[in-house]
Amino acid sequence: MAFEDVVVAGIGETEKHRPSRRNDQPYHTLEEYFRTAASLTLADAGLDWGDVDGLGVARPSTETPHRYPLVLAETLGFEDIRWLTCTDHCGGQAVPLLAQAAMAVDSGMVDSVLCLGADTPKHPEKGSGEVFPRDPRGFRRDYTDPFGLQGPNAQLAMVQRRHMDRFGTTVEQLGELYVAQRAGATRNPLAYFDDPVTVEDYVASGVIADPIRLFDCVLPVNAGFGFLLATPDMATDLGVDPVSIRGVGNSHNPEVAPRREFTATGIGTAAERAFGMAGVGPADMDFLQLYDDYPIVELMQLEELGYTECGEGGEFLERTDLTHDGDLPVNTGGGQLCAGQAGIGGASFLQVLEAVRQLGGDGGDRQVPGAERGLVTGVGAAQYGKNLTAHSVAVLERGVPA
Amino acid sequence: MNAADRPLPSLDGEVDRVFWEAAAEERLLIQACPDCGERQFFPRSWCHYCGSGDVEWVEAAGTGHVHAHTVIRRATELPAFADEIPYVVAYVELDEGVRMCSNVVDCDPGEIEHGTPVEVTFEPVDESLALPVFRPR
Repeated sequence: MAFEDVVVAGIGETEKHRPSRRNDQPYHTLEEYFRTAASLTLADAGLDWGDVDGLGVARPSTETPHRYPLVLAETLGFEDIRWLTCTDHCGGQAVPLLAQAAMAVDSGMVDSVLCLGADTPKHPEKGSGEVFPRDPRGFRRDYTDPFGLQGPNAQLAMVQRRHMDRFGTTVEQLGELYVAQRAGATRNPLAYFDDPVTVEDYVASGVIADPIRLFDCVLPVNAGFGFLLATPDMATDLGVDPVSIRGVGNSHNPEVAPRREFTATGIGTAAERAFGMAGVGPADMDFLQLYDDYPIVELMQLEELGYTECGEGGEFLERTDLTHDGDLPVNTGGGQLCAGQAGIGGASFLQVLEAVRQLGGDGGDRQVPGAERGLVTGVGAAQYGKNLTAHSVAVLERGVPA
Repeated sequence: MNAADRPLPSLDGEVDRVFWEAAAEERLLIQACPDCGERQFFPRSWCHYCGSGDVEWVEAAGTGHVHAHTVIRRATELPAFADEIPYVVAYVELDEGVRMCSNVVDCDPGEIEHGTPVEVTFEPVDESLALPVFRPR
């Protein structure tokens, strides 16, 4: 199959905020971020408020009422939505949302779908850090919380420690990746961090769960994002620079057994499907926008996507220039580690939007020279005894579908 | 740590009650499937390999090795553990083949590595609850 009758026709991304008692950054509600993201996206595509045919919503981690996509459609003021969907795919969810919306447009069900993601993990009165409600049932409540497994930080620390012990990967090698992304953030006006750091700063950032440091942990921000999918005809009428979706692939819960090596994921399988649909391979990508909740998660992806051999990712990071005009540009706008991750609701939207921006030639000071094609990934959902279990990949290309 | 602050299992399902009641008697239970021969942990009332509803409890020997571990330095999500820092959280692979999240205790956290042989010991939390944790052997 191929997506022949759908393109990305607009994007929108809000400023990032981390309001607390210790600063005077503004606090906006979740719905205000959704509204701003929708407004920016529709304006980018040249559409008026309310010109929304279909609506796709990534479910936020901030507490929301059930039936939330319907509540949101009414709250925002979108009339007679012909096709409504919602994803709840953990961190990587912007990528499966892109695929779902592309299917709806490509099939002729609707002419356009506005996809939105937002979250507000930071609240000035409720303290710092992301507060997920405790699971009502299940393994986390019964079999990991009682032993003090401190969420994803601890889970990925176990993965990183095992990778370091088995393959000799070092903290400094992972620091190279962080420093490259931080440099990208200084060229991204919408990034939360805007100052460069060194590998020494990264190493000294303070151990949270050994060997995971503060700078390894994704940066929670309040923000909203959107992208609009439309038919190529509609994009032509609107006069926008279209980006086509050449391939998508997923692998969720790739293996029932927790026998899989703990440092392995299912991203390779998902990518095989996406590359197969696109008819291209890893070497054809001009940049990678890799889901980045921790540098170790990017390193595992680089290995499984075939950019380096399994176990040699650390050395690869050392010898490869990952900045926007380097050997292999990765997370050119700073990624979620440096630009900020809007909870689960806005997670991986940054990857999709930065890819569209680069392919439209709108990368500004961080434009990848001659960017024609790029890879976007979304991963998430570390589960009991396993590494991450949700994997989605998309191959995007400049212009209308060939 | 005050036991009242510790996040405790919900014991919402029958299988959870069976597991934790056995742990209180210092028995470590895992599950085996008579239909496909696989073993699993955490417990469920079905086999997640073949879907059978005839899954059975078996008592584990309590020995295994560290598959992956971390030393917690900051209680970022579960503040009740702040007084325990530093402590080791690990996935222990039991000799029966299942992987179990637990703590490695009675050790210098710096001495643990993947492959470290461990054995189960039971840490009482209150009269009706004990946590199966592991120590180097």
